[in-house]
Parts: sequence; structure tokens; C-alpha cells
Amino acid sequence: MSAKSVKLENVTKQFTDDEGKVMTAVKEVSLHIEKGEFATLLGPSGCGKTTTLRMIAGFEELSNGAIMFGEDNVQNIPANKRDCTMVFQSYALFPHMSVYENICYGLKLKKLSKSEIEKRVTPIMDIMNLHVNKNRMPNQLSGGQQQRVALARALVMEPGVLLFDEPLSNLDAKLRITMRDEIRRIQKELGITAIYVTHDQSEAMSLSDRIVVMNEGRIEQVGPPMEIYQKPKTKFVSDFIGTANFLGGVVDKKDSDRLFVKTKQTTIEVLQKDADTFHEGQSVSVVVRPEAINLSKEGTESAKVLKSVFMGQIQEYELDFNGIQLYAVVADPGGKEVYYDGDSVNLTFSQRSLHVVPA
Amino acid sequence: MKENIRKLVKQPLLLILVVLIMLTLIIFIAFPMFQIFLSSFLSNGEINWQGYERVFAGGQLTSALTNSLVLAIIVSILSTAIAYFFAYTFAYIEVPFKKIFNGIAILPVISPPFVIALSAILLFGRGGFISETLLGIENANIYGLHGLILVQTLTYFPVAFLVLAGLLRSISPSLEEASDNLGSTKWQTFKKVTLPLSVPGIGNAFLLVFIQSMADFGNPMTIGGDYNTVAREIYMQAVGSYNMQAGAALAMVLLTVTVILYAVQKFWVGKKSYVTVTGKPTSARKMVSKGVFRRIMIGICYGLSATVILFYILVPIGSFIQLWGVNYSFTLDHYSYVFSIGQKAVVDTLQLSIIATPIGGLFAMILAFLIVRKRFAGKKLMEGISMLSIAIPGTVIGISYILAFNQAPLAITGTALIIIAAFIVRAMPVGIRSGITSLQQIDPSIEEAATNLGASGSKTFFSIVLPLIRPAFFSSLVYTFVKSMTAMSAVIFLVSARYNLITASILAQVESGRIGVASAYCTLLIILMIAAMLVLNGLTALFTGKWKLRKDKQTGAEIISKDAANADSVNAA
Ligand SMILES: Nc1ncnc2c1ncn2[C@@H]1O[C@H](COP(=O)(O)OP(=O)(O)OP(=O)(O)O)[C@@H](O)[C@H]1O
Ligand SMILES: [Mg+2]
Repeated sequence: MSAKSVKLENVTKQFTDDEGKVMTAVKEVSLHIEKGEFATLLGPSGCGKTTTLRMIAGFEELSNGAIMFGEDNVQNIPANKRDCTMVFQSYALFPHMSVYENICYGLKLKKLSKSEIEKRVTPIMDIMNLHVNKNRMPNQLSGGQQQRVALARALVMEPGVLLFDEPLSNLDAKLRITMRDEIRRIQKELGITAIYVTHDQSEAMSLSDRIVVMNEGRIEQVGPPMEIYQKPKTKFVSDFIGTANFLGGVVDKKDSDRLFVKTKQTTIEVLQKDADTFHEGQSVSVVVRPEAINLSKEGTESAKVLKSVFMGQIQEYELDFNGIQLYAVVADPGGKEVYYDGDSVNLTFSQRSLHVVPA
Repeated sequence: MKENIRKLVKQPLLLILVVLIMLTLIIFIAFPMFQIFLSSFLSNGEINWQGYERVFAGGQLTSALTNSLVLAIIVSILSTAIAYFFAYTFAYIEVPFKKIFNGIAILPVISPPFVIALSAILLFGRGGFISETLLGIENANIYGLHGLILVQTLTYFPVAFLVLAGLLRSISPSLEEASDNLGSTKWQTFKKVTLPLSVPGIGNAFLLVFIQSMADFGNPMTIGGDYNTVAREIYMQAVGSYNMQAGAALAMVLLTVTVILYAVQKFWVGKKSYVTVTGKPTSARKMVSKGVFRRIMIGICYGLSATVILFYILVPIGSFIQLWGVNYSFTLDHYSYVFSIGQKAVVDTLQLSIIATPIGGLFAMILAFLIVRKRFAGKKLMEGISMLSIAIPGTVIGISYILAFNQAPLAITGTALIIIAAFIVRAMPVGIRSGITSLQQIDPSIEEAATNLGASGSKTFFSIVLPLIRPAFFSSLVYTFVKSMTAMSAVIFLVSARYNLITASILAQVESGRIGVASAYCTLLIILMIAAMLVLNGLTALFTGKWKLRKDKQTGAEIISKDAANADSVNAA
């Protein structure tokens, strides 16, 4: 198996409907996915994830731009000749073929001998735990088993690139987690380049080397999960990944790695590596994660508790901070002081967890 | 558009396929239609209105037209009424041996076009069993409007039944229960709920029968007598008096009528069906299981069913009888004629049908596949032409083919090719319809998965698509075979010394009064049809046992009759 890198350069896709109206589903997307990397396209419904994936697979023509597998432009390679296989959301198993026949389908097309096919299929069926179901028809399998067959069928081809379109969305919550770990394990073990589409952020977080956040056909940000969460580049990303409070303000002063943001309430000092991309006087939002809010009884009482809910592992607060509603979470409330509706509290931010994005 | 063209260029096989199919459709449907249009304005190279003047001036052609309309109106009303009666009984009343109704409904689809007409002659004609032997009427005359009404009603009410039974079944019983619950009597519920809800279906059934009656050729030829109709007159003009312009003009008028009615019917099905809005049947309907009302309904339905069956079995009986009305002794003479002098027609028909069957079946599936799954330049046109083909009456195909194919570059008149083409064009709509319906039930990503795993376009089609739409494919194959074997209205124009057909021979025998031989031919056809249906049932059971695509298990015969009821509006002609 030789994994391949995938490069998208300025990829644009426009659809023309029957009345000739043009809609742009993917806009000038450029992206480089390394050999052996697990990259996830994450974004809200309709943002162009599937379309991007389908262009990589060769099911859709590009309106503009280029896609490269390794060094080769795949523009003129038809879908059935591209070195990538796909796991479909609906699994797309061949209903008239047994599990074994489904898995062999691609190998048979490659005109491999029976023994070679056997040699390649057996280890995959081992990994996927499919031997007992070998001769069953797809409609006699559970959702999880069908999912495994779909994965096995794609893996057995030893593709340069493996594509996934929301493969777990039809499974129940528990199975989803098991399968997700399994996919990640196999991908690492075999060193495959994987591109995975989902709109479930926890899936994206747990699977990916890098996450590509998309919105309205464009890439908003590309980066490792932690960076995406802690250092979102845009308001959209910070809002879409995890939960965020926003404090609007303007840049008052700046340093090489620090910003002072003047909000209606206070001036907040934020450690920010890319401080020089901002200029003084620029309107910005300070992203405050719920866990970055500390509450205490000491000092000035700057906020009021509107609602306090005990959730077991965490205590949730809704706070009024000088006219702005904030959502805060305190972990392990058992060992800490708990505040109740109507309490006045002193509110401070964990400076290291704050982050500034353009408004 | 640009991308579509680029896509086509990138998949040369698809490109070739699209071009080939397009050419076929243009050559065998669009071009002939254009030729009739042209010929209807041409006499001796001059453009004029003489053809249409003759159609509307009040002569023989006008009376053919009005006759056809009168006949169609009467037959549609009668058929729809009888069919509604049947359908109501079927949907609301517990009837023992209900399956019989289904069986009867398939008969007109699979039987040769003039079985009932032949039986009617045997029963009510000169020397007819009822008219003369039982009632002692000499020179009874079944020929004419009354005969046609009888024969067409018996032939076409099952088509209307299929439509109405489907509709009544889909009316949610909870609507009627609600009405009962609000204090309505059963009769009020029927009048206020059931009947209004069935209006679209009634309209639909009426139009389907109307189109079939208008386009009917076999019955008027057999039993029409002096009552001239459009389809027959087109044939007379074209073949009898070589007046192509008048024939073409009349054909254009007929075509216009059927296309308009077909469009209205489509619109009605699509837009006016309240029934689908109310959703799936929530609970099973409580069937009427006792009472006088039930017994009367069942009695009438059984009576009518028995009559229809009688009409169908009379022909096989007649085929063994020396001289109907005169000498009722048993004989095999008619069969020995069929298998000696008449053998050529049997062999030719079988040969040509067997050639047409796989081509027609596959053609329909590929066309359905292209329409449902592919995007390419010219798709709209392809869809349009194949839709149009549903609405073209056989006679119109017939006359258009002589007009289109008797001179270079497409001089194929008299060849096997022209007959096979007519067979395929006539049977194609049903195949396309059922292909489209079953493709729409299949997740397109299954085909993409195959492509993704390395299958070429043709490999995907043959290893994935075709196996998955097997029921539709089989039904399309059998339908093509059945329709080819029993085709008459179109091919009657095209038979030649080189290729004779069973249906044409039957007609010739009827015309020369040799009902026995005609009956023997007919019986042979019926046996072949039954064999074909059995093969279909076997194939369908064999290949759909492992996985089920259609939720309810259906036999091949049921599939074919449903597909036919949906798509086939003129083919029985
Ligand atoms: N074949 C098509 N023709 C026209 N528009 C299309 C087509 N396929 C996708 N689109 C449009 O392109 C946009 C992006 O669709 P896409 O399927 O890529 O979204 P997605 O990010 O995968 O969403 P989801 O999470 O809901 O699957 C949508 O607005 C969609 O309506
Ligand atoms: Mg999607």
C-alpha cells in the first residue's frame, strides 16, 4: 500500500440548476493533506463537504482548480481509475452480493487470481471480525456489521487515499464511538491517507490529525484539533467548535504577543501569538470558553448568577456580566463553592484560555 | 452544460451509448412522426390543406372520427362504471377467491387484441351459439357499434379496474371511519368521502380507456362492420386507396387527440391525487363480511367475471370445432392448417419477437438508466421522445413507418428490421416506466461504490444496475415478447410476402369467414403468452428470493400488469 498526499488547489464547484441558476457549492478551496494523515472536513450542513469529497473521488467535475494525488493531477483520471476508495454514508453495499462477494468486488475487477484475492481479503476480514458473516447477504447484517463490510471493501483495495462521507451517522451513539476508534486504529496501523467528512465535532476531534473547518463552501481554518479549539481564527470557528461566549470590543493596545481589548465592561489582556495580524482600533471579539470563567466571592462583585444547574460532573451557570449573558462551566463542583440564582459573584477570566478573533 | 459535455467526452462509452440511443429514438420515433406531419400537408409535391379538409369536410373520414369519439365515450363510461363496481367490491368487501379479479385484470394485457371480438362472433354472429342455436335468430348481426361497445368494454374495463383498485386501496380507512364516527350512514360516507376521493382515479381510468378505445384497431377490423373508426380508416386510406395525405392527416388528428388526453391524464395523476397526501394506509380497512348488499355485489362481480372468462375460453373451444353454427363436430383441421400452410406466419412471428425481446428489454433498461442516473447534453430531448412514444397509437406508428422508410436513405420497408423496430417502439414505454420506477428505489451511491472500486460504466451497469432492477428487466422482456407476438395495429402496415405475422393471418382468416382457423391461431398465441408469463414468474421468483427490493412480494405477472396499467395507455390497440 502506498499512501498518497492529496493537494487541492483553488478548487471551485458550481452547480447549475434546471433554470440555469448557478450556485457555488465549493469556493476556491486550497488544501494540502500529507501522506498518512487523517484529515477531517468539518462544517455545518450544506457547506460543501460532500461535494469536495466527491470531487476528490472523481464523481463531480471541478468547475475550476486542480486536484493532485502525490505529484499527479487527477483531472483526466476517471472515477473508476482513481487511486482512492470511499466509504459511503449509506454504506452502499451491493444488496445482491454476499459479504465476501462485496469485499472481493474491486479485486476481481483488478483480475487478481483467486488465491491472491483470498490472501488480501483474509487479513482484512480478520481485522474487521467478519468471518462468521462471510456468506450472509447485506440485509441480514446489523448496521455496525454493514459498516464494517463497507470499510473492509474499501480497505482491501489498498488505496492511496481513503475517503469517508459521514460513515458513522447511521449508527447508534455507542457503536459510533467503538467504530470511530476502530477506524482510527486501522488507519494508523496501515498508514493510509484518510479524508473524512463529518458534521460531528467530537468525531472530528477524536479522529483527526488535522481538522478542516468549512463554511459556505470556503475553508475557515485548518489545524490540529487542539489548535482549532484553543486558537480559532474566526468567530465562526470558535462558535462552531465547542461553546463560546463572545465579548465584543476594540483593540486598545498591542504587543508582539499580547492584545489589550477594550470591552464595554473592562479592558481584557489576552496572550495572542499572532497579535501583529491585528491593528489598534480594530473591532474584535474575545472568545471566552465556558471553562475559562472563574467565579469567587472575593474582590469586587462584578456578575450576577441568573441560573445555576448541577449536572454531576459540572456545574453550569448563566451569568449576567454587566448586561452581557455569559455561560460558564465549573468542573468537579463537589469540591468547590457553589453559587445559586441571584448570588453576586466576582468574575475573572483564565487569561491563558482567552483568544481574540476579528469581529 | 460545458461540464456535461466534458463529462461525456471523458466517458467515451457513455458518449457512444447516448449518441446511439438518441439516433435510434430520432430515426424510429421522431423522424416518422415528422414524416406524417409533412405528408399530411403534401400531395404530389405540393403543400396544401387537402388532407385536413377531407378529415373535417364531412365525408367518410369525418364520420370515422366522430364514430371513434362516440364509441370511445360510451366505452369509457361503461368500462369505468363496471371497473369502479369491481374495484369497490375488491377494496371494501370480503370476497372469496379475490385473486380471480387480478387474473382477469391481466388478461387484456397479455391476450391477442381480438380474442373477445372473435368470441363475440362465435356467440352472437351469423350462426352464433347464442343468437342462432339458442335463440333461433337467423342472420344475427353483431357487427357494428353495438358489437364494438360490447367487445371493447369487456376488453378495457380491467385496465380501469387496475387503476381504480389501486386508488381505493390507498384511501385511508381512517377518513371513512371519521365520517362514520360523525354519524353518517354508509351511503352518506360513500357519497361524501369515498366517491369524491376517487374522482381523480375515475378520471384517470376514463381517460386511459378512452385513449385505448380511440386507438383500437383489432376490434373494429374484426367486428366493426359498417361502423368505421379512425384507426381502421387510416389503414384503409394508406393501404386500401393509397391516399397517404388523407391517411397522414387523420393520423395527425388521432395522434393529437391521444397526446392531449395522455397529457391530461398525466396531469391528473400528478396534481390531483389527494389520496397520496393523506399518507399511507394507517390501519387495515374493515371489510364488509356479511349482509345482502355484500351478496349482491359479489353476485354481480362473479357473473361478470364468468362472462369475461367465457369469452376467453370460447376461442380455444372454437378452434376444435368443424364449422361453428353448422357442424359442431370435433376436428384438428384448423390446427393442421396453422401448422402447414399457416406455419410461415407462426415461425416469422416467433423469430421476429424473439429477436426483438432482448433488444427491447435491454434498450428500455438502458434508457431508463440514462434518464434516472446520468446527466448529459440532450437528456431532455431523449426523455421527451421516449415520453411521446407512450402516447403514439399503433396505427400512427404503422402509417408513419411506411412514409418514413420507403425511400433512401432509410429504405427498410419489407425488411425484418422495420418490423422489429415497430415491436420495440410499441413495447418500450412499459419497460422504460418500470425501469425508471425501480431505479428510483435504488440508492445511487451503490453504483458510485462500484465505480469507486474500479468498475467501468458498462461493468457497473451489467454487474450492479441490471441485477438490481431484474424484476423490471424481466417484466420488460416478457412484455416486449407478449406485445410483439400480439402486435397488430402497427405491423399490419408493414407485413410483406417476406414476413407474415400471426395477427395479420388471423385478420385475413376472419375477413374470409374462417373463424375456426382464426381461433386456432389465437389459441396458439394464448398458449405462448401463458408460457411466457410462467417463465417470467419463474425467473422473478428465482432471482428475487435472495434479496427483496420491492417490499411486497409480487409475482412477475402482477408486476407486469401494474407496470402496464401505469404506462400503457394505447398499446392494447
Ligand atoms: N448535484 C447537485 N446539484 C445542485 N446542487 C448541489 C448538488 N450537490 C450539492 N449541491 C448543493 O451544494 C451545496 C453543498 O452540498 P454538500 O452536499 O457538499 O453539503 P455537505 O456539506 O455535505 O452537507 P451535509 O452535512 O448536509 O451532508 C448544498 O447547498 C447543495 O444543495
Ligand atoms: Mg454531505
